[in-house]
Amino acid sequence: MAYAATKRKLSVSQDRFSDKSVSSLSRYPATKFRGFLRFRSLVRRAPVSKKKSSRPRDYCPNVEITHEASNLLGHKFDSNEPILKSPDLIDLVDEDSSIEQVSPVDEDDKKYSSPLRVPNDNIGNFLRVPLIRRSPRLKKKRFEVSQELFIPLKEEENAEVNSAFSVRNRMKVLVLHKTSGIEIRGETLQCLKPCVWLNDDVINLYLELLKERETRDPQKYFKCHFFNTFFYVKVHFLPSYNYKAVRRWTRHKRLGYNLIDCDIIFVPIHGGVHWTLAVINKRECKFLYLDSLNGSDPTVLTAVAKYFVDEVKDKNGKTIDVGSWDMECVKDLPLQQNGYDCGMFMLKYIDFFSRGLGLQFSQTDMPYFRLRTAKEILRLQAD
Amino acid sequence: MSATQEEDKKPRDQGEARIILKVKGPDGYEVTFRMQRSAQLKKLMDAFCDRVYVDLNSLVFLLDGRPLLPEQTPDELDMKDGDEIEAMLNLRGGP
Repeated sequence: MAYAATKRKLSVSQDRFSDKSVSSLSRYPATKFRGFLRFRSLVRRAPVSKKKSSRPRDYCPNVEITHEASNLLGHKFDSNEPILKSPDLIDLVDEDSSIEQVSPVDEDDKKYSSPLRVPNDNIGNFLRVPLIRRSPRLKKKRFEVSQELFIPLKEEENAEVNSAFSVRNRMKVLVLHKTSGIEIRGETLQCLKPCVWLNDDVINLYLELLKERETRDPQKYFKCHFFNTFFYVKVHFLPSYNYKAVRRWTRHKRLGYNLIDCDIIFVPIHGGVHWTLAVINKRECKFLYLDSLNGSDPTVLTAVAKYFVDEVKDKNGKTIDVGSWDMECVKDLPLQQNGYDCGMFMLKYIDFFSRGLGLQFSQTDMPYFRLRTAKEILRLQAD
Repeated sequence: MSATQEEDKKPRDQGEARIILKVKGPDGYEVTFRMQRSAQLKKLMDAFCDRVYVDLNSLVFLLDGRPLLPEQTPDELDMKDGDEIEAMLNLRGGP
């Protein structure tokens, strides 16, 4: 028995360090198991002061996590689901702008192929994804955009990232983003290594960088607002929805714009142990929910819709009717095929949406996106 | 700056130098602190963490949704009496 136990342990630890990209869904039981272990360690670590539990007001995050974890473990994985099911993905642009043909140049393999993408038959399919309808101002840039999505990292950039990942930088503050007050230590950045769960610092900083990117070149990107990861926790503070808690988060004085002026608003959602995304698409009057594990959660959509109505009423004094808006849990989207890439998928949904592009990526791009994100964070500039 | 902002918040020690700040924990537990405007927020964060027995590294302090650094001071941030700081637990990823 003892032998069996050690064997199991061994296989888990091996599993943990293999960074091969996974192609079959048969790994799910293993990853779930590993996720559970990880969650156990998190629980063990979280309350620093169990011993002083005589305190009435003891912080105990475990309850919430446990609930969420069981949610996740109960998640149904549909092994029949293809990665990219349907060619037309979500469009974020006006109905009136014409549907474009994919130009011959764009169909070239080089445009979308990243250095890390495994050349398989999936690609042919992948490239058939018609380019999403875009507004005229984004049209011109289409060529450059599709190219710059998968630029391989230069040698020195790779070296920079690798040295930042190294153990001796663990406690060192690698970057400090002044305006958002986020500092990234080596330890924090290590979550961008393959097979590691993303943490909120990295996600929040990347979202700040995306906002800066948009300010730098407003012609090229939609006007977006990126909420940070704490927003949803606040607005949907259990047991009920609470607008008051976030009323001051979007003051005009602080942001310099009102939410109603934005084309798209992104709300990252952390469900205890899983990152998903809610999108308020004002251009198309839609609320979207994207889950890289293909789950759906209507309560998120209703909370977000309610927030948007309250926000517009509070800041602009207008009453808008979102009754006619679509509420959609998007099903045709790139899905993750492992137990650790959900954060990266979420960031890339946001990135592609803010460019006005369809979600033209897949699981095989994730190792590249991780490196690229690490580079962009180290340089404090998203491209 | 904002000497008029004192309102009902019992301005005992001439509001200019001191500031009253509320910190709200993740479970809604509130603590009110009075501190010097020029003192670093680290003091407040440490005090709050001591009080709720949580490690400083596992909490993030937000002012209107923006993370605060321990080195910042209320003066720098142009904070007003009665401002509420939200303490949130770090969110550590997911699959």
